[in-house]
Amino acid sequence: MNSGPRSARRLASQAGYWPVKETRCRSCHEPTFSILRHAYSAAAASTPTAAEPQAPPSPTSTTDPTAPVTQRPLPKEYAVRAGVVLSRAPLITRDLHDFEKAFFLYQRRLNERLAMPFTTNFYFKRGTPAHLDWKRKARERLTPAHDVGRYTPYGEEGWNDEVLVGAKESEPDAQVEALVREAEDTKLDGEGEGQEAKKKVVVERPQPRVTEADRQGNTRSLNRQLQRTLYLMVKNEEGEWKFPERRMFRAESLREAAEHILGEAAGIDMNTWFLGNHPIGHYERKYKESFYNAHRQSEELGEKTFYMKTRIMAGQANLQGNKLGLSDFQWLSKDEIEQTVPRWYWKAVRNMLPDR
Amino acid sequence: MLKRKGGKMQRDPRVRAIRYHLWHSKAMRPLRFSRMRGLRHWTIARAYALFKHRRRQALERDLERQYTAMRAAVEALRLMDERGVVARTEAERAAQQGAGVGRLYRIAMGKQGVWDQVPIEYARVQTEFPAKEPFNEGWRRPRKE
Repeated sequence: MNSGPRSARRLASQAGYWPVKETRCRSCHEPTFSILRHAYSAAAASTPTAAEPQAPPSPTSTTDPTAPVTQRPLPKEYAVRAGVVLSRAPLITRDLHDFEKAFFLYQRRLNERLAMPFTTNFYFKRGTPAHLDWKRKARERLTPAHDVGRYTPYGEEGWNDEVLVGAKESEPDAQVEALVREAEDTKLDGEGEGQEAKKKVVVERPQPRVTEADRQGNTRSLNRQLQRTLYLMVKNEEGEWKFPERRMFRAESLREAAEHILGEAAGIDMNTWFLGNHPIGHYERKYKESFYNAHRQSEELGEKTFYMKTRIMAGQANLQGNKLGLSDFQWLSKDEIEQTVPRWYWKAVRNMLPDR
Repeated sequence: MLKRKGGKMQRDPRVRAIRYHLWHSKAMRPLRFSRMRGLRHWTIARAYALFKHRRRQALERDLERQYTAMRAAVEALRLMDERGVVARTEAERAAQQGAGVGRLYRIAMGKQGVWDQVPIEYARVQTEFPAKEPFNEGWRRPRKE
C-alpha cells in the first residue's frame, strides 16, 4: 500500500492547507481528485443552460437570412468506427528457399561423415526378417540415413559428399518419395520373391501442400493458401473491398462492437476468438469537405476506424441476411489484399498485418 | 554379465554391442578438408549466416511494424473524446471535460478475462503437410432447440 503521501496531500487540500491544483491521471488526462471532478461537473452542467436560449442548435433552422449570425458553432466530430480483422492462421510450414534446401542437404551429408557408424547388431537381431530387410535396403542406399540420397561416408568416395547444381536429392518432394517407396518395399515375411509379389503394400502419400481450392482459384474457401495467413475481406455497398467495419454506438466498447460486427456481417457459424480488448491498428481520414450530420447535430470532419484482431478456428462466413449491406466475401492473404483494396486503404491497414 | 561356457568367457551381446559402439575404430573421425573445399565450406557457412540474419531482421521489422501500428491506435484512443476529437490546446482540453476523453482507451486496457478460454487450437503446430481436411469449414454453432 503506497498511499501515504497521496492521502496526506488529499487531506491537506481538503482542509485548505494545500493549494488545490489540477491533478490528472497520467494516462487518460482525467482529473483524479473527486473534489475537482465535482467542480467540473457543476461547471459543465451550468454552461449549456446559460448558453441555450440565444443558441438554436441547428444552422438549417434559421428563418430570417438577414439576421446577424449569433449561433454557437456546431460541435466538430469524427465518425468513430470499429472493424474486425478476422484471420485464419497458417496451417503448414512455409516453403523453403532453394538455398535452404541445398544447405540442409549439405549439412546432413556432413553429419553422415562425422557420425559414428550405425550399429546394426544393436538394433536388429541377427537373421530376423527385419534384419534381412534392413541389410537389403542399406545395400541400396549405402547409408543408414533415408534422406541424403545415395552416399556412403565410409567408402572410397566418402569425400565426395557435395551434390551437383540442380540435384533432386535436396528437394523435400524427392525425399518424401524416397521414404514412401522404401516403406512400400518392406518385406518382413523374409521369404522369396514369389510370395510377396501377391500382396502389394500401398503406403499413403502425404496430402499435397497445394489444395484443390488453390488450383481452382476459389478465394471463398478457407482451404487455400495453407502457408499464409488469410483475412476475411468483404465487399460493401460502395463496391469496395474492406474489412468488416461500421460506426460504433455510444455505449459500445471496441471489443463489444467488434463482436457485434462479426455477427452482423458474417453470421454465427464461425468459431472465433478475440486476441484482446485493444485495437491492433487504426486509420484516421479527413473528408475532403466536412458535412452537417443532422442526426448527431454536429459537423463531421472525417472518420477514425479501429481494428480488432480475431482468429477463426472453424466454420465459414455466411453473408445471408447481413446487416451491413455486404454483397460478397473473400479470404485473402496480405499480398492479395494489396491487389484488391483501394490504394489509400492499403496504406492505412498494411502495417498491422503480419507479412506471412 | 559374465558366463562361463566351455572355458570361454561369453559376454552379453547387448554389452558387446554397446562396447563396440563406444570404442569403434571409426568413431570421432576428424573432418579433413582440402584447401579449396575448406574455402568453399567457409563461403557456404557464411552465406547461410547472412541468410539467417536477413530473415531474422525481416521478422523483427515485421513485429516492429505491427507493434507501432498497435501503439498508434491505442494512443489515438487515449487522446480522443467520445466525438473522436483530439484537443490540441489547453482551452480545447478544458472545454472537453466530461466528454468521455479516453473512455474507449480505459476499457480497452482492461485485461480481465483476456486469457480465459484460449482455444486448444493454439497448441497445434504447423506441419509440413496438411491434414486430409485442412480446415473445418462445415462447423456450425450448436443451436438451442
